[in-house]
Amino acid sequence: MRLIWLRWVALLDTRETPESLAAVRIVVGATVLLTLAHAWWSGAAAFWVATAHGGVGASEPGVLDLFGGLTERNVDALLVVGLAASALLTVGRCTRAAALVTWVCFRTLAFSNPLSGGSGDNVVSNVLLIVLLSGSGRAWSLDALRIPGSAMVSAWPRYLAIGQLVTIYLSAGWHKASGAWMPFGSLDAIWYVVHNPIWLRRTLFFDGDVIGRLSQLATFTTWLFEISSPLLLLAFYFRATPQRPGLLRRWFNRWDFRANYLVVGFCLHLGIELILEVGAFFGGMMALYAACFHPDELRALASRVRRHGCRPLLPQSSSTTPNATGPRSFRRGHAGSRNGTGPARGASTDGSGATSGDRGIGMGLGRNPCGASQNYHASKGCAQERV
Amino acid sequence: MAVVLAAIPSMSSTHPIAVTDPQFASEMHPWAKFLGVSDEAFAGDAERLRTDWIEVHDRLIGPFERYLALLGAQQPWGMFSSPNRSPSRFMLEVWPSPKAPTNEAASQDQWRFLSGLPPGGWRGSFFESERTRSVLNKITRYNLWSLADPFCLYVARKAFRDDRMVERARCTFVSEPASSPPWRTATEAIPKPGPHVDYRRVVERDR
Repeated sequence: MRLIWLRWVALLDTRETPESLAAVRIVVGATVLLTLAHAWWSGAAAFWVATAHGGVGASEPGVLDLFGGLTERNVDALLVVGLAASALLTVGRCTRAAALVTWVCFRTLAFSNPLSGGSGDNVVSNVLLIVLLSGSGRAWSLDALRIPGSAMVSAWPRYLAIGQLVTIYLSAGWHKASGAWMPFGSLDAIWYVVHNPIWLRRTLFFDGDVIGRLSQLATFTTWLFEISSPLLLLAFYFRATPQRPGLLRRWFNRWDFRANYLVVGFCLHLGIELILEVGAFFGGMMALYAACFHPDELRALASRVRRHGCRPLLPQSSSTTPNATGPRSFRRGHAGSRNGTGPARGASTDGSGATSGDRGIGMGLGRNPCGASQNYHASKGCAQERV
Repeated sequence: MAVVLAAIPSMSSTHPIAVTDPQFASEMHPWAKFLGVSDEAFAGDAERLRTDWIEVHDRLIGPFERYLALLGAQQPWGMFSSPNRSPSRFMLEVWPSPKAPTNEAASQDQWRFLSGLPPGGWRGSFFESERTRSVLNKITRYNLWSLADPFCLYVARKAFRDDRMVERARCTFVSEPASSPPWRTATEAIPKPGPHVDYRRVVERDR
């Protein structure tokens, strides 16, 4: 029991560079900015004004109770503040304060009318809380430019974001425990979703036997994808402990379950976004997806984008994304020394790129795939980077 | 831990499980058949499980839900879990003439469609917005027709403001069963009922 507790403490004490949390911050900040701006120019902000003040049914004033309730002027003022704060959060200026103000504004507005919100609001609100508690402003931000030297931040907010992602999928999978979604049932859920004009972006022609069977396949795949989300946690654990034995571990790591799961999820969300109007859901989920990548991977990606101009080069899988074997510019000042006299806490001391946290239990997503396991040695990405 | 616990479905918003439920045949019967029990026995056990679960959930998980609600971190992830087999449409129509309609059937053709869901040309971005869709979805799914009134009054006011010739506006919610999946229509000849007007209200310009 004591060992488990110590491992838990060590996990929560893991520190890492802040690029992943910065990516979460940028995605969620931009999502809030677009969501509030869209509510303003489309006129949907009327749902945040009380009926007595000329709006449509808002009833939960939150902090606006202190300023006279959900009047049109108050809502407009809060929208302006929220837009400014989310812009600051996106660019990382006064990040912590901007995150707090964005969270308060978004929460107050989005939850002021219980009828006008959706799951997108919940995802974004949850991610904002995580960003608020994290050191997401220490990289890829205006604040980071003003603070010399590298930063190491707590990794637990990123782990919490991953846990939130898995929880969303698992809970959604449980909620869908009905014949409409599961085998032995009609598997007609997606058929009816794409025939519901309330959510469709535009009228589409979905008919015919082939389309019908495909919708059944999509229904089952969606449910299976959601209900199997705990395997994502297992994949992270296996990535963190590749030296241990086990066929399952080897298979998970060789096939890179994490990357493949996230690719399937991205396609699923992109499909939903293109066909249905689901508000901030896509942005909120992508913010959580950003947390699934280790800072080393994101730095490597940014480096490759820089080296190849504006041509984006996404890593084919995490096993092809170098970290310590990557460009010197990334190793310098991040996983290395804070003051030039020794390794920073959690930084690599052997050049493998694996941080101390990575050697701990589970969720150490940055275990150097190129140097740690035989399975990765032949990978294309490692060979390229060595060149 | 609170996040994980609060995300466990409560089932409190589900309907009681009964053989007489129209959804039972498509959603429960295949499972009863698979497990080799009668529909009645399966429905009884499932309903007992549902009510017991609601009680346990509310007692054990309720405090965590209240804690997360304070933080704005609720965990309601029942997205599209129950497909709507009889979706609704909303129509906002206007009556441009100063003469009031005398007979509803006769004047049907003179109402001019302005917008709604699916959206029309007028204030399309408002109706296309997820917030508007969400409000209309919840009104129709949970029969919250009293909340349709403020929505209708709001869009009618906007229509009057945008066009001074408009004297009356009419809001209508119509539900109609969606077209059945091809694999079902091939095996079962289910007669499809026509559209049903769930809500209608005419608003006159306030002079």
